[in-house]
Amino acid sequence: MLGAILKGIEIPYHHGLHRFAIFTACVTLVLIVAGALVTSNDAGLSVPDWPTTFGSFYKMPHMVGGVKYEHGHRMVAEFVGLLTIVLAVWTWRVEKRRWLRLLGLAALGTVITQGVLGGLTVLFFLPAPISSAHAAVAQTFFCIAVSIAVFTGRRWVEEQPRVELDVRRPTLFTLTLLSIFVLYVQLILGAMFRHKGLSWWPHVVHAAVVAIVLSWTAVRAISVYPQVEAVKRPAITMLGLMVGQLCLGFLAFITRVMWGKDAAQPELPMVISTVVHVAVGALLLATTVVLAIQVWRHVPVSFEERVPGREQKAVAV
Amino acid sequence: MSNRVLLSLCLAASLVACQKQPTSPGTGQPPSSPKLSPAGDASAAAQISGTVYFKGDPPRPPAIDMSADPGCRGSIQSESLVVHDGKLQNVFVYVKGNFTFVPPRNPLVVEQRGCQYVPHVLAVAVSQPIEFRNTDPTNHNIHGMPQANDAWNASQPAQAPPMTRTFQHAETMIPVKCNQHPWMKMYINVSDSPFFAVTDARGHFDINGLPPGTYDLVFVHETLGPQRHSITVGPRERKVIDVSFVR
Ligand code: HEM
Ligand code: HEM
Repeated sequence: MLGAILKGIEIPYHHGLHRFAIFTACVTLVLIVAGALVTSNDAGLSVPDWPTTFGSFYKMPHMVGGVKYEHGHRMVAEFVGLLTIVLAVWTWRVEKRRWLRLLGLAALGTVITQGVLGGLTVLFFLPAPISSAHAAVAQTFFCIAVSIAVFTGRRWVEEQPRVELDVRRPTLFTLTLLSIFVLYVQLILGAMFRHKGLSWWPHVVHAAVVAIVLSWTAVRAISVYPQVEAVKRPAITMLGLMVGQLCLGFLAFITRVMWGKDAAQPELPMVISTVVHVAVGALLLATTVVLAIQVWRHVPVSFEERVPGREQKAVAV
Repeated sequence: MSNRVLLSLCLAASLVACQKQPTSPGTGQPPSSPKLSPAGDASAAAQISGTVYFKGDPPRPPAIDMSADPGCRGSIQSESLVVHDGKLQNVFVYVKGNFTFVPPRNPLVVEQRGCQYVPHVLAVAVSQPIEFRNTDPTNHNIHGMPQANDAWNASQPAQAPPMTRTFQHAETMIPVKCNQHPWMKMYINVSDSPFFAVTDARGHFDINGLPPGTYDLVFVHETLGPQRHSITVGPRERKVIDVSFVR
C-alpha cells in the first residue's frame, strides 16, 4: 500500500537531464580539487583582482606559478557556473516535481554565492572566515549537485521503493542527520585550521566524534537493513571513505604540521595529501547526504508521523 | 622640549639632507648612518655596534625549486636563517625610545630579482617610502601582511614602473609575500626610532648618533624571535654589544 502511495504520481525519467546532472557533479569534484590546489599551493592571491583577472574579463594570463592554479580554478568555476545555469533551466523546463525544480534554482543560488565568496576572499586577502565559508559552501554545492543526480536517476523515478519501518530510537534517519552535522562541524574546523584561523587540535579531536557517529550510523544501516541495497551501499561507502579519510588526515597532519612547519615552499607530499584529504572529505559528505536521502525514502520512521496529511504529495515522489 | 628630542630632530634633519638618492637594494641597512648635525650637542652622541652570533649548528638552507616559472632563473636557497661562520644575517636591531624626528623622504628599494626579494630583511623609518622594483622577466604579486598597518596585494608585471608604499605605524617583521612564487618572502621592519640597523652578512650592525642615556636595544629575527638588552651609553661612547641567538 505504501509503495502505491509513493508511486502515486507518474514522473517521466529524463535520461539526458540525469546524465547532465551526473556530469555537473563530476566536474564539481574536479573543481573542488582545483580549489584545494589553490589553497595548498598558497596561490590564492596570485591574481589580485576580481571579477577581472589582471584587469581583463577574457584575456588569458600567462599560466605560470600561482596564476596557473588561481586562474585555472576560476576557469573551472566559470564552467561549473555555466553547467549549473543549464541544469537549473533544464530542470525547470522538464521536471514535474516542483521541489526538484526549486532544488535546481537552489543549486544556481549556491554557485553564485560561492563565486562571490571566492571573489570576496581575494579582495579581502583571504580572511579565514571567508575562505572557510568558501570551502564549506563548495561542498554544499557538491552535495546539491549529487542529490540532483540521485533524484533524476532512473531508479529514483521508476523503481518502487522497498520500505522498512524504523522502530528503533534514535532512528536511522536521525543518525544520518547527526552524521551530516558532525561532518559539517569537521569541515569547518578543518577549513579554519587550513586557512590559519584556528589551531589544528579541534579538528583532530573532533575526528574522534566523527568516527564514532559515522560508525554508529553505518553499522546500524548495514546490520539492521542488509536487505535494502539503496541504504546498504552508501552506508558501506561512507564507512570506507571515513576510514580512508582518517588515514589521509594523519598524512595531511604529518606533511603539513610536522614536516611542513618551516617549509620554504609548498612541498609535493603536503600538496597531494591535503588536496586528496579535501576531495575525500567532499565525497564523504556527499555519500552521507545520499545515505540520508535513501534512508528517508526506504526506512521511514513511521509513515503517519513522516507524512502528515497534505504533505503526502511531496513524499510520494 | 628636552635636549634629547632636540638632538633627535637635528639628527633626522641631517639624515634627510644626506639621503637624496634612492638606496640601492642589498644591505637592508638604513640608507646611511645618521650624521650628527653641527647644531645641538652632537659631539656627545654615542655609537653602538656589534655582532650577532648564532649558537649551534645551523641547518643547511633548503634549495628552492623554481621550476614552476621559467621566468625564474638561477638557483637560490631559503633565507629564513642565514648564518656565515656562526654570524647571523638579517637581524633587525633598534633602540627603543621616545624619539621625535623627521623621517627620511628618500625611498629604500626592494628589488624582485631572480624571483627573490633583495634585501630579504629591510628596515625603514615610519612613513619613509619603500620602492618595489621588478627586474625579472615575469609577473610578481606583492602581498604585504602587516598587523598594525594596512595590508595590500598588488601585481607588478615585468617592466612595470616601481611601486611605492609607506607604513604609518611602527611594526617589526612584517611579512611580504609573492603568491605567484610561494617561496618569495621578505620582512619589513618599520621603526619609530631613528636608531636602527639590519645585520649584514658578517652579522654586524652599526648605530650612530645615539644621545647618551639608558635604552632597550632590541634584536629581532624572523624565525628566532626577539631579544631585549638594556644598555647605557655615555657621551661619545663607542659601545660594542655582541649577542647570540640559539634555536
Ligand atoms: C563556483 C564554484 C566554486 C567552487 C565550488 C570553489 C571551490 C573551492 C574550493 C573547494 C577551494 C579550496 C578550499 C580549501 O581547500 O580550503 C577553493 C579555494 C579558492 N577559491 Fe574557489 N570555488 C569556486 C569559485 C571561485 C571563484 C569564482 C573564485 C574567484 C576568485 C574563487 C577563488 C578561490 C580562492 C582564491 C581560493 C583559495 C582560498 C585560500 O587559499 O584561502 N573560487 N575554491
Ligand atoms: C573522518 C574524519 C575527517 C574528516 C571528515 C576531515 C575533513 C577535513 C576537511 C574537509 C578538511 C579541509 C577543509 C577545507 O576544505 O578547507 C580537512 C583539513 C585537515 N584535516 Fe581533516 N578530516 C578528518 C580527520 C582528520 C584527522 C584524523 C586528521 C589528523 C590527524 C586531520 C587533519 C587535517 C589537517 C592537518 C587538515 C588541514 C590541511 C591543510 O592545512 O592543508 N583530519 N579535514
